[in-house]
Amino acid sequence: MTWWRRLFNKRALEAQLEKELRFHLERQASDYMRSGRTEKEALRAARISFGAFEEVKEECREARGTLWLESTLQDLQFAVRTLRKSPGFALAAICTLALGIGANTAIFSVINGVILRALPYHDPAHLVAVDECLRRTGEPLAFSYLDFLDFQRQTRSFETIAAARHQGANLTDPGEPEYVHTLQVSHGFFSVLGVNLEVGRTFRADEDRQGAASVVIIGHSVWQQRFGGRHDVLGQILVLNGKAYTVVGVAPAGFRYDNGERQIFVPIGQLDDVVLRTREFHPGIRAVARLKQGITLQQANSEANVIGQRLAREYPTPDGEMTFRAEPLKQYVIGDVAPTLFLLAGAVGLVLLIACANVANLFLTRSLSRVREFSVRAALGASRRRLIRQLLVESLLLSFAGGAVGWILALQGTHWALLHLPDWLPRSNEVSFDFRILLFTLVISALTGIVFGIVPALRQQVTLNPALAPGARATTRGILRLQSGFVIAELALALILLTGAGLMIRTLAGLWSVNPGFDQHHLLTMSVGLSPKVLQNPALIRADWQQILDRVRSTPGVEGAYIDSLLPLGGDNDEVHYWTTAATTPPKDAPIATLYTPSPGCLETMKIPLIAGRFFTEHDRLESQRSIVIDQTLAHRVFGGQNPIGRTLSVQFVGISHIVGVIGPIKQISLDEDANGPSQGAIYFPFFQLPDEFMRSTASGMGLVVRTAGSPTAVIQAVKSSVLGPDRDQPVRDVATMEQLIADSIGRRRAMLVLLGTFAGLSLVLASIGIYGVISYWTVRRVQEVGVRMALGARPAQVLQLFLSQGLRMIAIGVAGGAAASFVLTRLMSRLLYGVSPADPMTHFGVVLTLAIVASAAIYIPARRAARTDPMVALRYE
Amino acid sequence: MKPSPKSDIPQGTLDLLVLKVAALGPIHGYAIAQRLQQVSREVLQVQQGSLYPALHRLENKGYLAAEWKESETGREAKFYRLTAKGRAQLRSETENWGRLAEAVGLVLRLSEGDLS
Repeated sequence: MTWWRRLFNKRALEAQLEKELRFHLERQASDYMRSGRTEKEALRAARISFGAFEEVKEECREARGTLWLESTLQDLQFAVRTLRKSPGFALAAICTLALGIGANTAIFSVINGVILRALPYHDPAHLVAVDECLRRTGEPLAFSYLDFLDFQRQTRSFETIAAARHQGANLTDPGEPEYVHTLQVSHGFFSVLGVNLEVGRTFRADEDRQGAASVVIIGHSVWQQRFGGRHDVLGQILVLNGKAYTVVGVAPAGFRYDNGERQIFVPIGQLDDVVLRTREFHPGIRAVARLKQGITLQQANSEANVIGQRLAREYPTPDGEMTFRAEPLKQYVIGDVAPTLFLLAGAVGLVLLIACANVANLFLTRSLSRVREFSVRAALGASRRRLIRQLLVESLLLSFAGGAVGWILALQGTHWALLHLPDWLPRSNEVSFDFRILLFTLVISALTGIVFGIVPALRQQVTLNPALAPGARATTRGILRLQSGFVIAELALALILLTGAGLMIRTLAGLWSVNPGFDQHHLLTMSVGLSPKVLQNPALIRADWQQILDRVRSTPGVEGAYIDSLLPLGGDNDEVHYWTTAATTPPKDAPIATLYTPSPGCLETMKIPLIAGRFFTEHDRLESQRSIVIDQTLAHRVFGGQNPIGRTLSVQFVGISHIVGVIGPIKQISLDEDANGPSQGAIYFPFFQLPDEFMRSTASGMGLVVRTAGSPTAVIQAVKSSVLGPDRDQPVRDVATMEQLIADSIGRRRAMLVLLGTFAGLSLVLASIGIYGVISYWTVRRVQEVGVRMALGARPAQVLQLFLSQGLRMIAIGVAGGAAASFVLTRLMSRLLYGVSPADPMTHFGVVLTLAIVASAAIYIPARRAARTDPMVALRYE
Repeated sequence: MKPSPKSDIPQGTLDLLVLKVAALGPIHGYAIAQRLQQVSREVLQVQQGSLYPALHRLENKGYLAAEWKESETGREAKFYRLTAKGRAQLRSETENWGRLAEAVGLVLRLSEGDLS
């Protein structure tokens, strides 16, 4: 019979056991009777020689091997009954644990989706991202297309390698004009990832070169929305940037690459774009490759280095300083988010510890009121092990109930947080609940149950008559000491979390008060594309941009507007080399500046201060002298104290330009960019002086910035319809206020503030409840003593002081310990901080004060209640 | 529990004896107890009750198989019989016991002089 059948046939087994033993007794008795005893004597003798009947039965049950399970089930039933008798206790414990376990499950589900889970491609372990970078610093620059082609030809480490470049484009037909995200890819792209198309075929090698027929692969959603999901989509025409493309394939639903759903794929090799034809340009091309079997990443990297050196010899300008580097694709996709997530995991771990300490204290309090119950059970023969097990079963029952509620909380909370927190997480769409998370919740629930249950279980006091047991008071004192130990630990842990949250608040406050160099209020930004009709003609493009600006500027509620290829704090950066002399050295030796190409009106719209000279006007046209404006940082860097007006700079791609003005510096990459060293300076080149070959690439999209009289959101519709113009075929996308752009640029820190703040708040509440509960319990235990004291003349203030001093001692120790620990631990988050040191005395002092005040309030309430006790009532208590 | 006034036999040894008795053919608990006393000429005084946990333990390990059958008095009783696994166990335990008894005997036969 298998053990589980024995378990479920318990009743039959019991009957058989009884029958077997009875048979023995009766045979023995009848043997005795045969030797001449009376029936009664014989039975008695048989019983004596047999031994303790019930004990034998119990030993037989134990020999069966399932007793532990049976008694555990009994314990479980008993635990359910006991907890149902004290629902308040059970509810408090389950809620506390649910918060702790839920927070941990939520963070684990994010770590699982972002870091642990494999990328959704075929055999993702062999996929690598390859990038071109500076040999000296390792700074990634993205591929120059010609370098990519050379690299592709020479490398032997990869089965396949493909380039991918993200670019916006205007999709005008079929359907409404729309600015779409396209991916310009080389022909091996889908086979590198091992992705099969839903319909049609991937690009052929002969379509990936100049002069090939224009073909396109569309994403699933474009197929559904613009072609109705019809299967005759192959061979249909799609118009991108005014050019007709033939659909040859459809990517599968949900296909994502590099943290975004891509809708349109075009072969990069057939595009006629100046930035793809010139080795100097590094237009955001990244390569993805699949390692050959047996080739390690290290081998691939050393080969990449050799190719880099070969190209550097072949093209000293511009490739002298370049090399190539491969890293696992997953690492490339995730970026540097892992330490931040592990920091959060640490924070929720602390929350769970606080929850455990709280519940352990609840159990300890309960254990004192259950002395009688356990003493009776011990007297009836329950072993110490059995009693400890009973208590552990109770705590495990609570922790699993808490885990179940926590699971639901985590499910809802994660969903909410991913929807409402700033979008800072890579792969956030891959965060979903799976078997691994369930396992995590089960394991952490079990561990939690043991952690908070073991101490109360071991300390359960057993004595039938407390008055007779000399050790009873000592044990009680031990439990009270244990309780205050737990409370002190909670306060210390809460202080660590509060300090973390405090430092984030200071960081955010610091960032919000950073002056971006312009007035970010009342600014509306968007990306605008041009009508497909003008796309091939640079002169028309210039005219169209001018018309759009004129239309927007005359819109009611608009005070100013300009266009630029680069939006401040929009997440991008364009860089150029410049030289102070006409004799240009190789670019690797030349300094770098941020390049803006604004139309006139930039200064007035942004309210950037003019330091010297003038800004561009309508007169800076293609045919007039090449003019540039530089920012104050660049002026200081290049000219020191001298006046730069009238001097010249040689700017990469543009040539010799005359400096006509100096303006104040603005933040481009992030508000905290000065944390990474001094700014490199900026060059402003007049938009309407851009040469024809650049003018073409502006047609697919430029940033438009509008200064509004009132709230920027109020004029969105008006501005949009002004942009659209009479033909309504100019796509507009990414409409946002400048304040939103700035908020997004510090999204990760804002998310961290919300999360750390939530966890810190949670820990503050839990710790306050903890100390409140313990002091309340103490006042109740000593109510008779208080009665006696007051009857003997103690004043309420003295009683108040009695309990307050006990509580304040705990607070003092907890806060001191927590302050010391957080002084060390906050170093871990220094990467997230800005403008505040991890050891910032203001913050540390502030949170110590906050915690001390809140905790003192929590002990004041029960202490005051005790002080108001009516002595007569207190004496009659119990 | 009071200690039994009769000489207890070591745990494990009882198992060996029970297996040996059961090897002679299907037998119920009472008969095993009787047989043990008779065969050992009343030297081994098994507390009769303690026989049953041993039987259940051996059944649980698969050394014994049990079956309810009519006994010699006409009442149903639980009969135990040795399984193949039990027979192997009996063989190896018997060997062990023999070696152990020999070794203990050797040590006990040492004279004082041999120890110094």
